Amino acid sequence: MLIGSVLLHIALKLPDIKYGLQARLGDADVLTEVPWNENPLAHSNAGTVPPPVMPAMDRRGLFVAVGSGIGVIVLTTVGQTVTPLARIGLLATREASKGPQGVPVNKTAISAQVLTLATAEDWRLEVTGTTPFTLTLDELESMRSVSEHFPLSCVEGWSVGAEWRGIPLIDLVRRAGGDASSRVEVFSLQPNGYNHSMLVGPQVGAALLATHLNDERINLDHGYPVRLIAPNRPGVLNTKWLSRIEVT
Amino acid sequence: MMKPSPGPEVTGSTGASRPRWWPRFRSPLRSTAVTARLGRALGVCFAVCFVTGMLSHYQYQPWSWLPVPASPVQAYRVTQGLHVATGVAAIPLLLVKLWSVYPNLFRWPPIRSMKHALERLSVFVLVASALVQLTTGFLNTLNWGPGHGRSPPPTATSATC
Amino acid sequence: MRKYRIALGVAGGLLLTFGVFRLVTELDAGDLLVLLGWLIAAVALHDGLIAPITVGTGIALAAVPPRGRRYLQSALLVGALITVIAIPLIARQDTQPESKAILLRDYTANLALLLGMTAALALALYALRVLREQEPAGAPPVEDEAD
Repeated sequence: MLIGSVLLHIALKLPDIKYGLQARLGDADVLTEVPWNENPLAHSNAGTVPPPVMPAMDRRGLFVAVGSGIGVIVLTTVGQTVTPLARIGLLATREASKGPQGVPVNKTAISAQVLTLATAEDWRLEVTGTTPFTLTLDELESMRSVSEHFPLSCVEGWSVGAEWRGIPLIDLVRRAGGDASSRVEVFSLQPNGYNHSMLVGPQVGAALLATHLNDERINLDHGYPVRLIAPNRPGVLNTKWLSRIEVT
Repeated sequence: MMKPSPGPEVTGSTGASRPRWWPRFRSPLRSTAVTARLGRALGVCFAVCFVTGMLSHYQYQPWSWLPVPASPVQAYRVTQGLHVATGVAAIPLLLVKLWSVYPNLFRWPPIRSMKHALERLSVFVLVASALVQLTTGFLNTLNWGPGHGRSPPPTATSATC
Repeated sequence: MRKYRIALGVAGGLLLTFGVFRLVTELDAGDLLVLLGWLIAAVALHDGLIAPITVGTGIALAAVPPRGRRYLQSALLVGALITVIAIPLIARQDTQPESKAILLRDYTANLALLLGMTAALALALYALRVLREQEPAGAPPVEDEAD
């Protein structure tokens, strides 16, 4: 809706935009409540007239000030994703280093209502496909695991690189009778909200079922007992507290 | 933004019949040249924000024949970082751009024709949706969900990162 | 130019219609009313409050001599833009669970620091200008037009 009205606005104002961009900044018409193309005294209509007098701030100064203000805002907020700028992130919302295990959390185990489910003795990972099977936590943890350096990138614009260790998703997919071209859907213990996500194509082959984060057993807020992590994927789709995987 | 300069009194053909109390703007800082340059910058921000937003949105329901790639590993980090950075930068830019065209709100007569009325309605839709979209988007990054009124369905408030 | 205008206008009109259609079909009546309220409130707040305050400040600033005014104007403008972004952060500071690592900074102090730095820079630039104008060997001072 916004982009539509932006295009429409550009269409309606195209003559003004053309005039405005062609006019020199210093001596172009003053914009008043009378449109420039209807104002007989406007510079563009009255021929050569002296440029408007700007005793204090001039138009170039306006752009310098606006540019500086926006520059300060961008530099002090992007530290939440451009990690080297975190130290000057005076207005940044997230501080990656202060998150548990070096990674911030958006949905905590408590707010997702998974505390008892995720720590239950009888937790099982159910994998469905042409050859379905179920894994206990011990069985899952004894499988081949690999380490990968993937960023966790949230839709909210913060991100942080982290070391993840876990079982390649593709190992479970193959055991369930699928392959790299399968469509995989993962489900969380979380009763509502973004509690499942779907993988197709290259991400199926690249994803991990992470059991460790930055060399520690992944904690409850990060998705214990096991969470999905894949490269180039929004954090919200890296489903936590997994309970079921469907391979089709 | 300053005291009127001693230039010629602006009495346009359409403005002559304005009531005496009608607001008059003569700050020489405002100019179509200024507005067009601000608008160009704002347009770039909106375009980047829109495209990166669509890329993010696509990840939720990709078509099976066009899956999301797994590399570059940092791609989403970059596009979503850009999405939020351009969105934040657009807030001050929008405010300054609106300041630069504030006199247009006081054109006389307020409505001249059906075409003029529609044009002003489209400007209202534009200004209102730009203000609301940027505000709710920014508040979402602070986990401050008004919960209503965002056109792309997945709001960041319920994100499970 | 006419061709571009028509193409842009049609594309914009279609997208706008599509957006409104999506809103109407995906939101229920209550949410739509809330959204409508937000849209009207946003414009009313901006056009009725923020813009008049800005214009009023500009008129009030005319009392300041032009030589220093541009620095004051610049500092106020930069400060206002930063403050707009900082206010919601201050309002939300320390409201979230600790493990989210969100909004843990002291944004009031950080805003004060940024505003202080802006003011200091503006003052320094102003002082520099005053000094330069007093230099006897330098070029004749720039004459400010009478206001």
